[in-house]
Amino acid sequence: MITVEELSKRYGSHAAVKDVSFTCESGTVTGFLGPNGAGKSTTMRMICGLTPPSSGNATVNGVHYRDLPDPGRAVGVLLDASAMHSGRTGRETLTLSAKVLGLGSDRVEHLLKLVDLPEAAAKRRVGNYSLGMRQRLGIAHALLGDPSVLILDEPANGLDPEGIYWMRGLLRDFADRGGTVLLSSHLLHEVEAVADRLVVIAGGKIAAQGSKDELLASSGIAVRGLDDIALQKALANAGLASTRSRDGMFIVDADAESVGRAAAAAQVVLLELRPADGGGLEQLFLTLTSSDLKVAA
Amino acid sequence: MMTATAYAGPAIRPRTKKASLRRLTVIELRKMADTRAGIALLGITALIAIVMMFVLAFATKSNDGGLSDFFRNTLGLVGALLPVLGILAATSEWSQRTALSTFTLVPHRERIAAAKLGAVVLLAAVTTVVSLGTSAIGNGIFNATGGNGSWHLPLAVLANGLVGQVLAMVIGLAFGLLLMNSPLAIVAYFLVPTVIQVLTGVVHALEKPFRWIDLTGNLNKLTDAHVSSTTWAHVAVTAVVWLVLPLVVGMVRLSRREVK
Repeated sequence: MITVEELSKRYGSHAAVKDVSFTCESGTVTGFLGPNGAGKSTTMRMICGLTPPSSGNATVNGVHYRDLPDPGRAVGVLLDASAMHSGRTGRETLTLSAKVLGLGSDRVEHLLKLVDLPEAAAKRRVGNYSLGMRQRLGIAHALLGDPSVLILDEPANGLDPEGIYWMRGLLRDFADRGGTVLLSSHLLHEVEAVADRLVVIAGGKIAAQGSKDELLASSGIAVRGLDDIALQKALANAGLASTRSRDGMFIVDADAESVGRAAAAAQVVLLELRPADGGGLEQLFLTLTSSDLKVAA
Repeated sequence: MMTATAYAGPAIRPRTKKASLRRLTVIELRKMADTRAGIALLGITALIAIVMMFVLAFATKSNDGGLSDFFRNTLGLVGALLPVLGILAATSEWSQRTALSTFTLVPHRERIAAAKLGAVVLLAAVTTVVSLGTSAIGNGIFNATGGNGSWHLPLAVLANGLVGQVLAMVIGLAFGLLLMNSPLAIVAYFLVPTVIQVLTGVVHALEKPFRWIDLTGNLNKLTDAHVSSTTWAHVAVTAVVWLVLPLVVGMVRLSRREVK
């Protein structure tokens, strides 16, 4: 479990993060979204005790990161897959951390296998790795101590479609077994596919947060009839305001039953009656972050 | 093909104790030798010791020589390059950005610094022993080929040599901790003492006070056959200026720096 309370970070007069508060419950995947420079990475570094906050508080499993008895056994962290020694082999990179955690080479081999880094790759120096291979190694590194919390900054970056699909399954499985995942990503589709909760940050401030269903809830009902004019009239007679969408549907701010009854009363044949598309995460992201960008500019 | 469910690995016994300083020291020692740069530096140092062994064995006049002399000469050269390893032990965390994983696993940064300190002291001790070994072989060859080298090694020579090696390595580490940048720290380590040396050569008024902070000169004097108490006083002051100051300021920087 991760708790962030009114966390702020100022660099001189510039506020990188302002009063950010959110909670990641165990058993959930929290998607952490925001444009470049919104303060995602700074927030994650503050949670991990790498950046001292200007004010506020962040705890993991109820204690400050620094006070965790053995952080690597409690929290798996991947903040930057390129932050590895280019002169070390992949296996050596994992072995060093395994030794800090008091784990043996069998654990290292298990994780190399898990993230699909074959022997030929494991004995190569990280400097020769592609970004995708570094991400796999980074994920193996995060999972090394069998933690109950994962903090991942852009872990899907550079992964191929198969790797992205695999990671989605891994994170879902991790959360379903009671783990806590905080995941930042620019790949909105990936976040939408795996996250239970969303925290959207823009200009250092929380722009929105809540469950994914809540935030992506569709706005109204989309309805299409055989006779457009008759349908519009029927809706107006029932006192339901409607707008016409680009693809010829009527968007009504009411529940499906009211719309259906209005159509039935006027004996209009319906071809479609369904929740209107919310526009998905992309629309939400752009709406929430663009207004803030304008304010910032 | 990767499978998501394969995640449940061998059950790990939960541990609530942090890694011991001893364990961290061994890991830091390993980190100095498991990279390309580390292997190269250790290799070159070993090569220097071996070349030195043959040079001393075959190029020494038959009346000179002896284990004690060979040891002091070998150590002087071996100790020239070794501090770079101490510098890199601190700076590579930043230049290679491994600080990110190092300090997420061990958030108490002073423990990592202490482990690095222990590791460079150990490495200095190992290189001293290796230098002693190659010197002994060199003296053996020297004697077998007509030389008359004494096997007598005064304890003071051994101890002074060890102190010199340890000081050089730890000063390297302190420079690395202070400057947090490999090229900057390496250039500073070799250049700043030389610049001061040149300055005092030009300005005579500086000559006497300079003896108290002459890093290169005082470290070299530790490999002399006899080290006077005046020299020890010079060494002590030099160590405060070049070791304690950078180490303390470096620790303060380390504890405050944002890890990115």
